Amino acid sequence: MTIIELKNHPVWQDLTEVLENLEANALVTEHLELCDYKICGYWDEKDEFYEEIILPRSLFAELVSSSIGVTGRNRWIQLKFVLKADRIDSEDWSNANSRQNLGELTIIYNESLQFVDENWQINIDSPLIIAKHQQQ
Amino acid sequence: MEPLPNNWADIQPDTIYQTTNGLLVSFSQAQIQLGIKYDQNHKHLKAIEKGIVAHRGNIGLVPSEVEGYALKSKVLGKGGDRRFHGKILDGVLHFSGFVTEH
Repeated sequence: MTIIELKNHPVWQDLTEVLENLEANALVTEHLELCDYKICGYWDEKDEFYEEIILPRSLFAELVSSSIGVTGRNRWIQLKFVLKADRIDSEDWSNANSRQNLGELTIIYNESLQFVDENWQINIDSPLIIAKHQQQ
Repeated sequence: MEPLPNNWADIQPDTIYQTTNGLLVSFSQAQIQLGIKYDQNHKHLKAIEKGIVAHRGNIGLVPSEVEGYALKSKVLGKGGDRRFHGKILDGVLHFSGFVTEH
């Protein structure tokens, strides 16, 4: 069996280079705008269904992880963002602690940077989120 | 034509079902077993029932990027870590049991 020494492998340098040139902020902004800051259909952690989730347009996304992978013949890039917004009731807008975590957004692109898929994990209890429950 | 059941256990292999918006769908035995195993709340059936939706920000059926497959069922939130892909065979969207993570 061949043992590959990964620690100093040039793949890391190549990956860093690709990911640095991605302009992740532009990609996530484009995604949020194309979604109109809405998620049409969402299952929360308790398996409750929501017809629609409306996100505040004031939110900002922070890239927390990025990865490149291969599934069969398909190559993909995955970007994971934390979604945050400033609290409405905060007296100190400059205080980073007043920022509220709204959840996470994961976006997957193909090697041509075309959108492939997404997933969301939303903090439904946030007062900044409008969550419309399924109508019975 | 029978309406699409909302429970994997009620689906018969290779039977053609019709969603409320008129889409014809069928499932292989392998797909039904995958559904029972991984989709215990039948979220993918709800997505299939919803039909074709815009690619971003929606639960429903969206284009599959996998060669030979037309559409994939998309669930968002909990349970949204799998996609079931379907091919169009004689005008029926058939889920043969092909699953991906996205």
